Amino acid sequence: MDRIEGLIGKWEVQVRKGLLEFVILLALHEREQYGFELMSGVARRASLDVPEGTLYPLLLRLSKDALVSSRFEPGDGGAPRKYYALTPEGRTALRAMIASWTRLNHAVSHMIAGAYR
Amino acid sequence: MMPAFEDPQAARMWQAYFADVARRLKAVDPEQARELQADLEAHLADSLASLDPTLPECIRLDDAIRRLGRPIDYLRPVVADDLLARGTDGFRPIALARGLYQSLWLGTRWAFFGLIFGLGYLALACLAVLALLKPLWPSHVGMFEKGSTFAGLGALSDIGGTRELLGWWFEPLALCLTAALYVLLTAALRGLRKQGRFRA
Repeated sequence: MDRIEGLIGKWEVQVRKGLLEFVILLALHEREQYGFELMSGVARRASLDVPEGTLYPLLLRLSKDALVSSRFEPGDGGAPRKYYALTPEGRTALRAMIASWTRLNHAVSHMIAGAYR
Repeated sequence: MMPAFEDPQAARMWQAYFADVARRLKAVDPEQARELQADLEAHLADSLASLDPTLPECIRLDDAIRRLGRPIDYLRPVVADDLLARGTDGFRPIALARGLYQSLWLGTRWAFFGLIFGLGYLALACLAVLALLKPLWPSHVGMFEKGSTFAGLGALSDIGGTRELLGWWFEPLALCLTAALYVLLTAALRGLRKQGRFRA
């Protein structure tokens, strides 16, 4: 039983890591957000329990790929905050990801239904 | 920017964490490293401010650091990616070697590509070394045949019954071949990265 739990744990980590990029783009589709706000929202709404530090290398790559842009805004009395937003290219990529996810979800749901018939 | 801590132990924890971050990012492009470190500092300060203020600073900071994760875990892909980008864009062998070494620790897919390309570059390095050894050990380094069959390419200690085929042409040919294969291998690596197969 411990071995199965270990395997499931590893699988869940991989699934969450794989979904992080998609979920981040979905969150930024709603509105621009700063890093901590983005990660807190993702953790709360998508239950993606990944180390928060993984967000910034991901945002850096998305910026390099021109899918997100960033700008500084004055913070709440502290240092300026960096806000991230989707670029037009990012919106196009997100639409393609949503279509792909919908197809995948549909196919897997069918297989799950078949497995329990 | 470090928040104003009342507890000196919390200040030391903060400094130790970001000293580790800075150490990990030493190999990365300085502007990118500064940007990442500033993002992480802002995140940790926000995370700290979001926790119950009645708790001791050290407890809150420890919790916030635990949630942020160990720098080695989330920064290694950035370091490998940056080194490989600089290595492939500028054909820089040292950046490539360091990037490939870092990639060996990043999971199966990265390790697979890292190993394949690492072995390729290692073979090229051996060929270059052979070219440089030729003037020092002329009769033992080269391409050899024994009778009418190919006997080997490289450095042979026992050359009895063999004949070296290329003579002094071995050195320029080996160097040219090394350079050509280095360019090809690096272009292949860059192509893979452009397809997103060997990227963080």
